[in-house]
Amino acid sequence: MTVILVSSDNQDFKVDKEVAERSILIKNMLEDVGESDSPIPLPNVTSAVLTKVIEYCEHHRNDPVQVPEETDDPRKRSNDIEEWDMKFMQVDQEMLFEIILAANYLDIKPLLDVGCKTVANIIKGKTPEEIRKAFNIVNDFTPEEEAQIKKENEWAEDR
Amino acid sequence: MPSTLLSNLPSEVTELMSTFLDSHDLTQCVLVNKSWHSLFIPSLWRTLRNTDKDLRPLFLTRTFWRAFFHYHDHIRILETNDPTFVIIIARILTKLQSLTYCPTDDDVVDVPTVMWFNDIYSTTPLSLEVQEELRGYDNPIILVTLIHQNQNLRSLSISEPCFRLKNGDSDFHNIMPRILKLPSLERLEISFAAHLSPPGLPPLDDKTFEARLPVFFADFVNYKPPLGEGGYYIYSESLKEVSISGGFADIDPGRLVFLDKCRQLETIRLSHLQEWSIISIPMALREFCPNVTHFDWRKGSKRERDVSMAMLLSSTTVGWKRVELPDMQDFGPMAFDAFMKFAAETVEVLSVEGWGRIGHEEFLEILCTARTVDQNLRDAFRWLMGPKIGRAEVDIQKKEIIDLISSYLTPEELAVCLCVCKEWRDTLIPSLWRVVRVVNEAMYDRFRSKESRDALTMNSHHICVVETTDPAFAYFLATHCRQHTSNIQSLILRLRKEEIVQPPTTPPPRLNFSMSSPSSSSSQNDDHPAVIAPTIPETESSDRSAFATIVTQRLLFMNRNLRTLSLDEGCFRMKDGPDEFVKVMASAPTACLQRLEISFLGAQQRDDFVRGTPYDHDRQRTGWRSWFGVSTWRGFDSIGWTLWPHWPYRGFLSLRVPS
Repeated sequence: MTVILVSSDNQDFKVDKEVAERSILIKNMLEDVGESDSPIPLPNVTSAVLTKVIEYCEHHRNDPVQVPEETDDPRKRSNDIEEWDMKFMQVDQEMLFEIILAANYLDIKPLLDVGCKTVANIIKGKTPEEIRKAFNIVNDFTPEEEAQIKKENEWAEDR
Repeated sequence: MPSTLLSNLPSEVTELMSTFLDSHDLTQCVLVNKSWHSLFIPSLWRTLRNTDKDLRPLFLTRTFWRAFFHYHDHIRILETNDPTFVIIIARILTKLQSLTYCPTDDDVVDVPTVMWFNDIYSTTPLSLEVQEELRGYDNPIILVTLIHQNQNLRSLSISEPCFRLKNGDSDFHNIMPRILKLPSLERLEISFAAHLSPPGLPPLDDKTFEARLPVFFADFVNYKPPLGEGGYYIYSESLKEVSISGGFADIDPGRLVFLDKCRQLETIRLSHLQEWSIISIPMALREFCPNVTHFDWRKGSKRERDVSMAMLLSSTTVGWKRVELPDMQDFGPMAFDAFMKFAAETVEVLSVEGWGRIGHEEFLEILCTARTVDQNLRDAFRWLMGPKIGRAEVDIQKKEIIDLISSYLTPEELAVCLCVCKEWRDTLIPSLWRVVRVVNEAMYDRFRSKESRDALTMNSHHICVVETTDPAFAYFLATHCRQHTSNIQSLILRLRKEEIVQPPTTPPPRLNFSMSSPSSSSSQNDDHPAVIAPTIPETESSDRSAFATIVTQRLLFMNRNLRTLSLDEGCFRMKDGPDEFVKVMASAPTACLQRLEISFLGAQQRDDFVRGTPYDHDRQRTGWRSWFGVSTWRGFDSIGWTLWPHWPYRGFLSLRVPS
């Protein structure tokens, strides 16, 4: 069985129900509506992004439902991204954030996790200057402000 | 403009992302620009960790406090061990969800710092009484203040000093009701301290263990601890997880009765416990906590007494759903038995550091057969988390193939193969030394040369099967093998033929095991031969008749994983001296023993064997005789029996009646 998803720029995407149901949002929608052929509008997702998201869902269609992992450490590990996902996430930053937004909106937890891990990995181990460079950010602190912030957060360093 | 991309994300998404960043990365992020600063400050201040003593001064600077007063509203998780710090913030923080406050005994309140702080930040100066109060360092007051201020705590970790009043008494029974009253507390971790062991609990050994158990149990269940604050009537409806660390000492059983108040408990994590606690905690769990299904023993001891481990594993009433264990390799039969009984059907997640064996079979295989596991590997992996099974199989296969091939070769052929090349040598050495039979004169001589003896010492850890009729060889083995690596699984000693024991020609050097007392006194006055390593006479001494007995004891002591044991009268009886049968048999390891054969050639009646010997743990009343269904076996010349599957708890006897 297939469902039709409509992106914000009015493109139709025909996907298997199983694939579409990777999104909890769509899954709940389908359950509420019941058997119906009417297309599902996704006004927050552009066709370019939806193509990517569907690609992800296609690849992960058979994954088991995630068991929430209990860890003692509130900080999670971000170095456990699968190879395919890593490749999948090699997109420009604009797209990366778009995918994260879409995953959040469509409620696709694993994709959201992977997206966040990817961003976290870009940030990891960098100095503020390198982060600015990586995200093309202008420094709007005065040197005094910067020194001040550095000082007041010293306690959290090197853990 | 890409710089705003991150700020466009909903706050839940940035929060999720920051959970993947450590605090160092977060300190860098807040420096990027103003919008990143406001974006990441909540995540950065969410967790305040002040556990490193070297960094304590950082938390006492004016810069820190200025920032603290700006951002303390974000703090949800506090981890600290500094009472000075806690005393200052105890009244400020109100939104904590997780508190870890584990001071040690050396941590005291630094009164000048508190006063300095008060001078700067408070309008009212500290009164003299308060100053005096602080000097005494009343930890329970600090803790109670924090608990009172933060009623939304979900997780709490505390250590023994938190309970200690300034006069040294424990305020445990007053504090516990307050903790249990917290409406959303789900997780509680308590580290009890080592030196507060309750008086009156004698050290446990195998002898006292069973005798004291019933008495202890009755005391424990009827014990009513003093509970303050109407504590009898306070039950926690929210507590789901309790971690108890014993600090390698016995916990006062009266304290453990707090488990009575945690009826909703689901998870129990235990570590660093002593024997009495290992007994009392399962009792408390079975008695009070009907819903416990998650057992965590990862930080427990790996080499726990078998019966204790079995008790721990039996402490659920509904069966374990989730079990986390260290290496199961060291588990005894009772522990496996308990696991199969309380977890095999119910367990959903099992995580171990290593898989063990029951008899000759892999535990994992038995478990998989016991449970109808979906053949889909993915499903199986979801509840079995241990060392990669596939890899282990390959290794086992390879080893088994080599063992199989080499089992067709004689020792001589193997010795030839060893010379082929280095690779062959390294592969085949273990096979060569797997079985050592020294049963005739030629073999005796072979092991008298220095070279063979050196080789034996070098490779003793490969030896699995030993069969010998030469007391001198047995002696060499007992003295020269490294005690900790010795892993003989099958030991066959026939020492009787040598009526006159041949002492070694040259005395071997002393080795790294205790030779504290002269052998004669140690072998005769030793009440616990299973616990204390028997010492071996160094030279040909006056009591050379005791020699074989002590060598046997020593070998039994060294090899706790014996599966097959075959002894003859020569191992028990000194030439003209007393019969050491009971003493020797008391040293016999029972954990893995499956087959025991004893040849009483010309022995007198063995009534002592029928009376309670150290084996019959749960057969005290019936004794061996009725257990085996043997009415009398006096006068038999030889008796042998095979016991399985978990000797001695489900004994089975096959008798070879002499013609």
